[in-house]
Amino acid sequence: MKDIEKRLRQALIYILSVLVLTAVSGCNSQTNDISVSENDGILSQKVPEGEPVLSDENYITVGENADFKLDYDRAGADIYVTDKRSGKIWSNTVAKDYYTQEQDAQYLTQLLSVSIADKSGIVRSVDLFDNTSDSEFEIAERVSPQQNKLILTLEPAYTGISFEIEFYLDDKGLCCSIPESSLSEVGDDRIVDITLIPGFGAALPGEDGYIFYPDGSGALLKFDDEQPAVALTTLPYFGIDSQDLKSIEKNDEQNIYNLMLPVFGLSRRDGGFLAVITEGAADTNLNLAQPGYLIDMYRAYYTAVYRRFAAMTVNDNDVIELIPSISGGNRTVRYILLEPSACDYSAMANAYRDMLVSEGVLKKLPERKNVPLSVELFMSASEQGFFFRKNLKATDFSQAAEILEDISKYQKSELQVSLAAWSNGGSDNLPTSPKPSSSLGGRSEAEKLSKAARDAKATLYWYLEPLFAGEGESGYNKKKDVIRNHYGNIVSYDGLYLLNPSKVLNGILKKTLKSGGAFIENLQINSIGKYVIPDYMNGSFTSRQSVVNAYIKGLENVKKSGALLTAEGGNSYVLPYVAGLSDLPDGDSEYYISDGEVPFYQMVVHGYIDYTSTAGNLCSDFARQKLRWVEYGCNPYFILTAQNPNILKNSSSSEIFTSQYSEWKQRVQDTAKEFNERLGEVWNQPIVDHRKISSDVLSVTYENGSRIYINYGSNDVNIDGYAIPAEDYAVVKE
Amino acid sequence: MKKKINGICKNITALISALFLLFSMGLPVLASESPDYVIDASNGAKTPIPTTYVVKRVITDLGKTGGSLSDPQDIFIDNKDRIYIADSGNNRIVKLNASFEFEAAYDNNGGFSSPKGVFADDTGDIFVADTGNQVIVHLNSDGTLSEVFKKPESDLLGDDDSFNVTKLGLSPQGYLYTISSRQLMAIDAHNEFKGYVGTNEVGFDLTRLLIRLFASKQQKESIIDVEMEPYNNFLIADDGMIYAVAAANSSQIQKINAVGRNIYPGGYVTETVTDEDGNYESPSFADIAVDKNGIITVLEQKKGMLYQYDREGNMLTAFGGIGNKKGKFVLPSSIAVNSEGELLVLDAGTGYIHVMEPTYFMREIIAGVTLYADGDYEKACEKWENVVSVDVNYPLANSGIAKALYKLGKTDEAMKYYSLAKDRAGMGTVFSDQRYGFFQRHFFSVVIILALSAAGIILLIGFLKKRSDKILRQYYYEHKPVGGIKMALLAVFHPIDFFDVVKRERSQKFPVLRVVCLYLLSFLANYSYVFIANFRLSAKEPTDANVFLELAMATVPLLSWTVASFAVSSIMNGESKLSEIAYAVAYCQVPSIVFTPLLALVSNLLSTSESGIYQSLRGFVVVWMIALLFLGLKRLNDYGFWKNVLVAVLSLLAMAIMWAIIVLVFALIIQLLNFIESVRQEINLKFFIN
Repeated sequence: MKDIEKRLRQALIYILSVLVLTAVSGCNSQTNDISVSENDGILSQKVPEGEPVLSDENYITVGENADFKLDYDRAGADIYVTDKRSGKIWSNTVAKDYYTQEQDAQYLTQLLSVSIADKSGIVRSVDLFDNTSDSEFEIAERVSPQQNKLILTLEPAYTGISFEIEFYLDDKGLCCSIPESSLSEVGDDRIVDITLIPGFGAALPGEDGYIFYPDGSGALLKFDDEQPAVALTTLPYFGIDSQDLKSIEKNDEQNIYNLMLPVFGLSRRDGGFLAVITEGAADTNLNLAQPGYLIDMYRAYYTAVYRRFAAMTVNDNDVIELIPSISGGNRTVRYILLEPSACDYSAMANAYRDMLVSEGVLKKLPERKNVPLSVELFMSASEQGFFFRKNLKATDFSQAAEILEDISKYQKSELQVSLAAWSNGGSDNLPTSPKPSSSLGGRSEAEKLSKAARDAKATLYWYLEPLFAGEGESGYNKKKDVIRNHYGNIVSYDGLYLLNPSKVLNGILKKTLKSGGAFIENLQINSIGKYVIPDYMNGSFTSRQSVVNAYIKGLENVKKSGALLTAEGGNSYVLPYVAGLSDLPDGDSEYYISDGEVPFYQMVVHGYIDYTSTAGNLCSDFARQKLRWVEYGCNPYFILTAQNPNILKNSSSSEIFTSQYSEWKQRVQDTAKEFNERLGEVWNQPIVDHRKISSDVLSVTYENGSRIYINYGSNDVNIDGYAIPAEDYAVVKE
Repeated sequence: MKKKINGICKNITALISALFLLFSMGLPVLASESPDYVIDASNGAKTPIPTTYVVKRVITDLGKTGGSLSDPQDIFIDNKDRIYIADSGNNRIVKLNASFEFEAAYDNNGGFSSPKGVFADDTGDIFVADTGNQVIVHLNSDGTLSEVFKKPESDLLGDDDSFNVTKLGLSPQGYLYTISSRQLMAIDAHNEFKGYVGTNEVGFDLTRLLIRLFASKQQKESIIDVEMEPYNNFLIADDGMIYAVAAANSSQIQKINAVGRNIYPGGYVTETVTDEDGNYESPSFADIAVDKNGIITVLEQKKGMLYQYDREGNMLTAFGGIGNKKGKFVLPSSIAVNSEGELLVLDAGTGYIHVMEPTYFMREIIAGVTLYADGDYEKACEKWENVVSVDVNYPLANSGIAKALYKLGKTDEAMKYYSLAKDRAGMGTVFSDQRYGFFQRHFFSVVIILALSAAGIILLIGFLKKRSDKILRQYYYEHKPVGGIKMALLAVFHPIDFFDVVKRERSQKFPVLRVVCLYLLSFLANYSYVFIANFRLSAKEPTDANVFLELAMATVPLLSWTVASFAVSSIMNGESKLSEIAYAVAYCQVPSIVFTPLLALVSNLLSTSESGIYQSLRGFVVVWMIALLFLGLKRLNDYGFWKNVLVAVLSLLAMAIMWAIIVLVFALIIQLLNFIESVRQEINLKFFIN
């Protein structure tokens, strides 16, 4: 009896296996219908004939709207988005038959990958290639036709983990979401990260196109057929993902910039996309894969990070341990699909700007016909005195007032002034509760300066550093308010501590505005637009996204108080709250993968937020820097002092190479005049196009049709009938 | 109890924190710094400067035909800007044109084995250090084999067959120079050894002396390699000179003339490097490049830095560094400069070539240096003014302007710029002129002031001497007690009697306050010296002042001497008590307390050229103090001269042992604390984190 039962069971298994195999082969034959063809040397994914309707029972049409249609292949676990405007089909998969030589051909059809850590912290990767019996996932799908939404419930086998992925259409393209509420971990295994649709838009070497990534001002990775420098580059959004202040300092020294905007894009001749991480960007990494990494294609994709690892040295051994606390929150990425006619980085910038404007993040600057002049007045530093540190007075409050008065005589339009190192200790002090330095004139002179700024019609921003604190400073609890690592140790470097913004930021901002109420009207906030440093202390775990949320709360409160804000560094979360951005990078980090830098960030915000880049007096070539300002649309910007900065030579501010106002006055005046006269008409217009005409000549087009040709070369050139002198620019009005 | 200990600990921590704040060295500010810098020759400090070189491009791939480089070891640029690379990992020589495009690759029909050096002459012929095959290969310009140079026959080259050629070059005279077994040698066209070139100077070494005196012939031969310090790389420049980088601790950058002498000025600044454990190491210069203006660039491999110097050894810029981006290197192996002044840096770690071009700021610096070296001071001054318009603190610019102003007779302004440049020699020259001018203008006044001062000093010394005589008389004959300042006078004018008085007063209570005051005064005298002494003659600047270091220097040696001499004299039949020694030693500082500030004031009247006199005066004060200590030991213990010498030497030894023990204990405590910390971390890790 038992034997019969056993044989029956075996027969059943056999029949089921045959059925499954038949289904798989059917699926494969159907997949072959999605072929890859080359038109004029361009690779594109197209259904060979007719409408992209996928008739097999394994295919589900999830939904469609005016421009897009979303299909799902159950057997292959693949999604297809058809852009009705161009007929292009976007998918996570690339036809297998085209890449049979690939050793890791399965990665051509990958939908996602999950990194899972076991109890001992060992991480393994579970990949979803298809929905066959070999799949390591249990998959269940739900479709919400009203929302054009496909919901996949995924359970990596034998892990006790499950989560949901939502794919849905909106009016611009595809959205992918991992709801926080769907994450479930039963047992010892833990989710480390999830990578979604890595092959979306993958391109072959030698294709005409590039990946855009938002490093610094923006950078391109072209689909060339050179031997790739680095197979895979992974970059975190919003700056280095570390608590190591030494690494942060090294990055600063080496001019490694943040991915300040939560976007990435891909441009091909048959279309492109801009992916915008709308939720959870602070806990997201961007991956830039080049041929040689798993498959021989260029790919740009993101990874939602849920857990990180802590490292420390115990008995000279490096210990790496999974931090158990999860970085929660929904994770959503919106793929804005672009038509072939407009899918370059300018189109991506325009699309992103439109999105931010529609969401109310960016608000148009008031109408004006001039260019603001930005000035930083550097006040003081310190050096070793006989017993105590000696204050080095570069500019006192009354001298600052005199400089503003003088500038206002020739700068008739907007004057934006930030005041640096104005509290006791100068630039060596990190004022968590600042008081105007008595050696600079104290509170009474500070108040007079505020009045002088108003008289000069200047907007005066007072520097504040609410993230870092010196060991000897007051205004924070040295045990409770500081960030700690996973092992409970306080994160510090050379007497410098990091404050947990969720605990202290609001207090510092309120206190500053209250105590400095008589003179502090507006603030320049350092660091928070640049650094996102989590607190890993067990019990007070603050994820990077929570840190960002704390920043946003603080900035909201300042905005409510009526004070204007400018921020150093431009991580996107500051955009809704700031009137200005200072020291924006006017280039990329110069990673090996970079094939060129582009002013993507500036194209997004120009005409909506004023910004500055490198100060004219701190660069090694002022003439070239001026052209850079013109190309990137940066306000002319100078760091000035009343005294000769050689007094700062032995201080920590010795990088102020030349700044004395009397020396620079003429150049400041001439530059302000030149910008107002030549560029005033376009300055509050958005930049809608940027392109390289030759190695030395570029053009920038503004929304009103005006175009600026910039010639960095040492020879005069003639472009489109316009003469552009060497190392100069020409403004061509519509 | 625990609370009490905690309280004490907290108080100590608070005190240390307060002291830290009081003498705070300043908090670092996390701000973006200029990546380039120069090193201040006076104190080794880094001075940031504006960007001097930017990346023009990085060649990561030579195209489909050229492929990529693997462990490239040498780069050479010929007079037509064609580039030759020893692609060691691929066993080939790669040739690029002046636009960095791949032209050809030569592998000698597959015959190369890890070539590490390449050179091409004006005709396009290529010479390859075929390191793996231990030969030098001469290829025709089309890559065909011309000839092979093997190890030349010579008694001087030893008996073994090894010929580890790594770098090579061809002199205008037709000699082939190569580095083999880390020695720079010359070979003629007939493959004959023509001698070693520019061997490093070997300084005095006691071990070496002993070896020479006592070692056998075989032993001496076996250590020759150790004595000969190695060359890492070299090039033969257009001026016919050999520019080389050596692994010696000194003279790492060399300019070797026709007779084999290093004529490069020795005053150039280098930077110390640290290993992974933070231990200091000598820099490792891997390659050298010289441009048409004689500007030298050297490549330091450990830090990945490029240092540039002018013909006089002045540092112009330091840039580069280790990193994974354009303009940063993983393991830089070689550099070369083309006719445009662009630097090509070969990275063996990545196989990439970084092309760096000078910025406007750097171009002006090079122009300033070149014009000045050519004697066109006025034009050089114009260039330096351009440099100063970008960076007011650039040392050479200020120095250059100062020199031009000095030549124009504007000494006051010249002094200002020399001061900014921290140019001691320049300041000294101008000061001498200013002082001479002042003498000329106020000759009689100066003579009168000097005469009056001399008279005043003589009178003061006479008065104090008489006063000290009187004190002594009153002490011996009237039994008047001798107080603090009176004792100081005795220590200066009657040192023998001073120690006798100390000995006679042994029954009195130990004057703690007086001793503490003397130590404090000594500290103040030394600390104030840093601020008062003129920069021309002082080794330290006020910014280098460290209150704790000066305090330690004023107290630790003398306190150690006190304890050590007491310990030794106790077992050497000495008669002195610890309190006596402490009292006497404290007064031995009187010469330093009096004369150190005075000498600091005097330094403001002296020129750099008079530093010898000045340093002698300072040395005299130190000798005086040592003499007092020696005398004190003798008088307090009633030793004979030779016994006193013996006790003094033993006391010094005891001091050394004492400090060795203290350092050992300190190291053990640190180890213990580390151990406790690691145990705490492990406990934390095991029981509390998860």
